[in-house]
Amino acid sequence: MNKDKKGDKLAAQVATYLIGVAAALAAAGVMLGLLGKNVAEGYSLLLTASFGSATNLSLFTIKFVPLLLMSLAFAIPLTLKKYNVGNEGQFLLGAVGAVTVAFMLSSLPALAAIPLLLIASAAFGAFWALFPALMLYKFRVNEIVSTILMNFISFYLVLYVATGPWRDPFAGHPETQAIPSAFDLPVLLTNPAINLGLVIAVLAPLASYYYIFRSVQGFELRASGANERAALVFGVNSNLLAPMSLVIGGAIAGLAGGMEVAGLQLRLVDGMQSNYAALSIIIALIAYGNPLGVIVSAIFITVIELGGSAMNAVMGVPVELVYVIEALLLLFILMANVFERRRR
Amino acid sequence: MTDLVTDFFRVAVAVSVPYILGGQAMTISGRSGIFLVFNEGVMLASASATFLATFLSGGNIIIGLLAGAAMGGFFGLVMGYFSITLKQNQFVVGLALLVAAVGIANFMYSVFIGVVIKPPQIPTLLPVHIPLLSDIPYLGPVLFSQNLMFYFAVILSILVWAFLYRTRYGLNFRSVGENPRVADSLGINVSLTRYAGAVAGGIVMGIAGGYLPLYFTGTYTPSLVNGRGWIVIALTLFGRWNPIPVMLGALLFAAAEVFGIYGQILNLPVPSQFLLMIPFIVTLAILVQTYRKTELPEGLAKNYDRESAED
Repeated sequence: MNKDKKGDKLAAQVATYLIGVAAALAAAGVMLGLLGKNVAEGYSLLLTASFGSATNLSLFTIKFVPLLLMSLAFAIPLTLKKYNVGNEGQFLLGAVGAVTVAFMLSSLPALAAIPLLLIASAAFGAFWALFPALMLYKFRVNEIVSTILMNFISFYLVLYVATGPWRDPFAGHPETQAIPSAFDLPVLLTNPAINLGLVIAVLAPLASYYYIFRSVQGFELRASGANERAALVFGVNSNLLAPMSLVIGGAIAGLAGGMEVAGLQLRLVDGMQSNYAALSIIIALIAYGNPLGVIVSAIFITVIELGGSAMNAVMGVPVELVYVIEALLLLFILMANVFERRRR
Repeated sequence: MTDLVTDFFRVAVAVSVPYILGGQAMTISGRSGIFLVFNEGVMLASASATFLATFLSGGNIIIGLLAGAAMGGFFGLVMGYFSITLKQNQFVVGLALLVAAVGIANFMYSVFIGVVIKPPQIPTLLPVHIPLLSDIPYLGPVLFSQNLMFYFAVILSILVWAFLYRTRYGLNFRSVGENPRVADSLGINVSLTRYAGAVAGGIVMGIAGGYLPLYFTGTYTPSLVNGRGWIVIALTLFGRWNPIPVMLGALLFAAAEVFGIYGQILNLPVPSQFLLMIPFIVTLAILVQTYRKTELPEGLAKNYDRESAED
């Protein structure tokens, strides 16, 4: 009986997602039609651009790894109803940390260099989240505003580092020289191109899931997220948990930034954060912060993103179209959920 | 030197317009209980709409601003639907709408203009010298030789204040933001009031966004808003959701922004990137100061459900 109920609930949940996806895709079709484009061709590009060849799969991984980690950086504080919209700045600080270690300790052998780079980038990201965390802990400053403001400070910090002593004078854009090759993430497969980053990115949500749903501290996290006052009464230190979750999120976003340097860009580049932050918010909110759900929604959004690029290249559809679709997807899923609950 | 000082304040006053308008938008909606977090995106969508409408109408700024206001009002309405009718978390909906608005802003520009070598230009707002008053030394150039939107922003702030504190509707409005349950029991239509707050806030936020291409650039770029949508949230907290302190606070935030630019002109011995951080660092510092004793409308960002037992 109980198990049946659980199954029903899961089925209803899946149904709301399917309705949300269908509605968002329908909206995409309408927009393509209004632009006078071939709707069928658009759909096929949208959904298949990530698959079919090793190159496509490599492109998929390049986008998937940072998106997954960034989403996780948003999802973990979300357990406590905290919105870490500062993951963009934490990502950039991780990247700054990575190049700092690489240029300051440039003679290290790879065996020491890579772990050090990863630790430094996580530490820099956590450091950037520490200010909003302290402001939240001491003065209850709303974390949405404080973490966002830290983002803007980080943009100028990246610009400062990228045009400082490590800059690449021959690049037409603010960026540093390439980091020493000992700091490059080890390549595991060449075709499709896969490096250590993918392994770390997939392990991270699994570890987070275990942490949130199977550990004592994770239980406390969920308890104070569900009802802060009740958790306090039962001796959970909610006041400390929320800032701490921001710092953990910062470390994960920092790791994403460090791996973007060591695994893809091989240097600090102004603007390298792309639109990861906005997409990660969508991804994490679609999954309601569940780390395993985040994997699924990150895959879906990555597919749509690459599809958008393909539609742009082949059919000349503005890339911003998918950006609107992704936001609509979240709104449609929220709507479907409301109507599903009302029906019951 | 005095020329430079006068000039600094003259520019700061002009730069304060989007802060004043954005702050009033936050105040109007916030007083009814709706917390707007979508500003950074909605200002951009409205900037895009204002730019395109001005450009396509052959340089008609009024049509441009109306388009920006309509875009903002539309987002306010959607915000209202999701938070009031569907009772979804205001932060979640706000963030989703923020992303959607950024997408729509750039999408519209791509569709109507696309990639061009020389971006099209629209006319920018010209200063209007008020007779006699603009001749007052120092004060004249700073306060009475501004573009019309500055006077509009000041008058709007006073009207918002008068509405909230001097009319019966304003009292209803504030009571819905403070305690929707009590307001409901007194026969005030909570949903309708909050819809009005969300839409009015969206419209004013849209005008704030429309000001950006009309004053700063005369063209549209994706980085036009540059954090102002977030700073107005801090500003409104700083002004405690009161129209007059919000208006005065806007000048402070604008001065911080202009200081970063003037620091570069003055060749201060500080890297320019650090000067450009100033407005954000100042805002963080003000936030800490503000939160130590801030008073929020009691019902802010909390959705009201008549059938629910909890408040």
